[in-house]
Amino acid sequence: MPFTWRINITKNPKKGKPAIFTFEETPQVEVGDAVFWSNQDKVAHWPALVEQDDAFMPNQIAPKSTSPIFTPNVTGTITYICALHKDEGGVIDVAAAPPAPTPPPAPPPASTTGKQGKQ
Amino acid sequence: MEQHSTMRKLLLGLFAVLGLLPAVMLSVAAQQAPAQPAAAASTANCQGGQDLIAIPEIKRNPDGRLRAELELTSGKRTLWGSVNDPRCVQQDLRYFTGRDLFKPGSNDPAFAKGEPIPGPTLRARVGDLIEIRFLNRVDPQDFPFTLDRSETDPANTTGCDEARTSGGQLIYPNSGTNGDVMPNCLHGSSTANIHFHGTHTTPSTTGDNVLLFVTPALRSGKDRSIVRPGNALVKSEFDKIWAACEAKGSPTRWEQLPLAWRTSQKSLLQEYDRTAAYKGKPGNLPHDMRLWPANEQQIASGVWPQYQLGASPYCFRLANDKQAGGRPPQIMGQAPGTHWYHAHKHGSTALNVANGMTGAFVIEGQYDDDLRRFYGAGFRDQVLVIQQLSTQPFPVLQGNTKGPGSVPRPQLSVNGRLKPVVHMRPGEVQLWRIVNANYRSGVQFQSIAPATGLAWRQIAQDGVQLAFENYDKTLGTVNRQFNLAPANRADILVRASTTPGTTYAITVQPNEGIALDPTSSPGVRDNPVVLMTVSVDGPVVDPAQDFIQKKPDYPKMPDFLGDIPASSIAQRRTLDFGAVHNLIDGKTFNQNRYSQIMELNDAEEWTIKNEAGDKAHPFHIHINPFQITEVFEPNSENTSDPTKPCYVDPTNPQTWKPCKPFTGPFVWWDTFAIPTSVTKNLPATTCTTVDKCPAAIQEYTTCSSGQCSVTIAGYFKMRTRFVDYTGAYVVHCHILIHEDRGMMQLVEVVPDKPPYVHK
Repeated sequence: MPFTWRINITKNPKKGKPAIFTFEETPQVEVGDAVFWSNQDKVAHWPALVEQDDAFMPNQIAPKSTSPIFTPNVTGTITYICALHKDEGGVIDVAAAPPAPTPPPAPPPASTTGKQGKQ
Repeated sequence: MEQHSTMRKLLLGLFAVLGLLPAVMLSVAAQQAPAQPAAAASTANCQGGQDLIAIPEIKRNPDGRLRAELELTSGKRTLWGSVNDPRCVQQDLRYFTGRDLFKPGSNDPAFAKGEPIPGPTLRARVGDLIEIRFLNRVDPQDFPFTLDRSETDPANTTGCDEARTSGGQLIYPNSGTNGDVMPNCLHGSSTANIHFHGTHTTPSTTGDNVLLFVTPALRSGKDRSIVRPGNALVKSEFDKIWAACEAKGSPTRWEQLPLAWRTSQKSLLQEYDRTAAYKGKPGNLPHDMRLWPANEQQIASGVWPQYQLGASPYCFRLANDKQAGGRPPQIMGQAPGTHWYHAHKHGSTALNVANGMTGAFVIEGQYDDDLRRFYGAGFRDQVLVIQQLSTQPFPVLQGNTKGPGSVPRPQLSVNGRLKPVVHMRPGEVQLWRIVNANYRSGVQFQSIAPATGLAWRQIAQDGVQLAFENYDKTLGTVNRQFNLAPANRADILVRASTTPGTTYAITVQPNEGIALDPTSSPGVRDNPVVLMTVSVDGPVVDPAQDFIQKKPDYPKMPDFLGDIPASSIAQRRTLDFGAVHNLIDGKTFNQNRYSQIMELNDAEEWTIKNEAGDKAHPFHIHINPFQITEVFEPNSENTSDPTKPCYVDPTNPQTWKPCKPFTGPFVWWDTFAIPTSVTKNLPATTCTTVDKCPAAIQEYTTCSSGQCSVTIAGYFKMRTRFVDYTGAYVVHCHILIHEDRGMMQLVEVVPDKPPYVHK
């Protein structure tokens, strides 16, 4: 089952310092999970990928709202920054998804009472 | 959007030029280090093997009323991973809590422990009046992009909940032939309502009305803790609504509700319309997406308004085939048995049920009286709600979900725990009320290990007791395997061994392909798993109890649950569920059309077909249960052998039917997995192009490169009576994501007597 991970964006209690990006829970993100940002700050933020040109967030996140979800499809470390504010950003470590289950055995034979007769 | 993208690239480039990225990285490291969870993750309930949680119950008042608050709330609950996934993580979930409004106090503390238990079990009796104060207190800020129509997403172009890869590619909603389009896509999952699944009551106004959209309460204040409508207003106004309902029955027009409540709803909805964000800007909602104008138009048309904000009153009476309280007897009556309730807002039903917005609804009657008479006052029942909990309705958005190598689905839990332990006393018989509240998978009960000492017999299906003949000879035989499609319920009598100290494992197989015959349809089957264990311990019951064996001891079948004779059928219809996930009769759900219109008091016979070969779409119709009179499972092994009498000849449609017709008494269901279809190749000697194939099979045949194949749909036939209640409701597939994506039809029962006279 994919888990959903929330990264909170909160105002830095120290005046003039960058906003803080933190996972709500200790992150254990795997391929196929869902990740989103919840902007609890009073100003917009705009997470954008460092490594690739086509950053995954299509637009700014308005104050008091959330980003769309995205689902990492490769393992590794995703580094993001805020395109609106310097010194803001974070990393998302993405691990491999658990192995697929082995094919189930053939279904067992029907009950000894056979098919359901009248029903 | 292009403008934003360009600006972003410029900013990224500027940061790089200024050499800020290394500083960012250092800053990132500093900020990530103290990333502490908001609350310590508990792993206790991911381990399995703990005692079954008894779900808190809200019981009827002896005066015939059940009055409850059901609060839809959101918060952290601990969830486990799928098979092979060792993670145990706190997740934001939306779920029901509740309390008995006839008793002082707040919600049962069991709801606050972080375990993902279902909502409170409601326990009423046939003929009772059900009064529910439904509160939607979800904070949508905990859930990305899901309030109504994604209006807070500046880039959203579909109105659906969108998901992208980390490369920015849109992966939901999917595009192409079967792509999801509003309103048949996932959206608006913080809006909800309640479907009282299995009830025979009014589908309108404050009844089992799934066309309501109850949006989250408005929030304000520094910590968003002030909610409107507030508790005091809701309490005072709902008390008035219920008093009127008790005196006159469910309201029929919005104007019958107190003026203060109507005024408050209007004001709150207008405030929402004024302030809701759209395209990233608060207060920018286009007129056609505003809620109050839609309500206003509906009220002017004499229709119950669709949008309720923050709270909605439910008040409906469970049908009674006996005269009571001055009310005349009803034709069908409410079957006493194990029913349930769950969220049912189109577009978010799957996700909401996956989050855990479900609960059991036990409706007692003579069935329970007779069981207690036989087994004694100490007779115990266990409410067992099977759930498939998840934060997302897809196992993995980009994953292959079918066949070998597919991604694992969420694990099955019972009452919010994995593999819980049920305790039984030696020599005891218990009644297990099993609800399959999965949003996706069927559950086939396969076996008990060790094989001797513990046994079960099914006594009811979908909240309707079996006729004694079926309990005695067919469905109710000892340890018979049974499959519960999503939404099915089974009551089983479970008999413990007489010697203490033994533990029994109950093994089930999750699946999507089984109708009746466990050997049919390869479909999607997960590995068999132990669902729960039974520990036989405690004081011995002496003398040991046993299954009911004789008809005089068996609960009396209510008269209204007798067989519907073929001679009474006024209308016949065929509904064809598609090979994919969103089509009935070749069309997705059309919110502007009643696809079936039935006349009150008619008995009808419907043939429900399934074109899919890999999933037995579970057919469900609200309000009225139905009797299965015929089941055709072309995937059963005995249809493939030309030497057997049940052989299905792909060139002869006359053989595409069951070889053993049911003779009755027929079993009542409200959800039935339609048998899967089978596709059989034709030899080249029969035909190589469609026009050369026998005329009788051409409409079922496709040919490619000289190879022709015939698809033979599975089907069942059912009979039902559209009695006691007019109104609009739905039929749909109970693989709930199919419903959300369009495998649903709006139906209406209309009066059988025109209001006009000619003199």
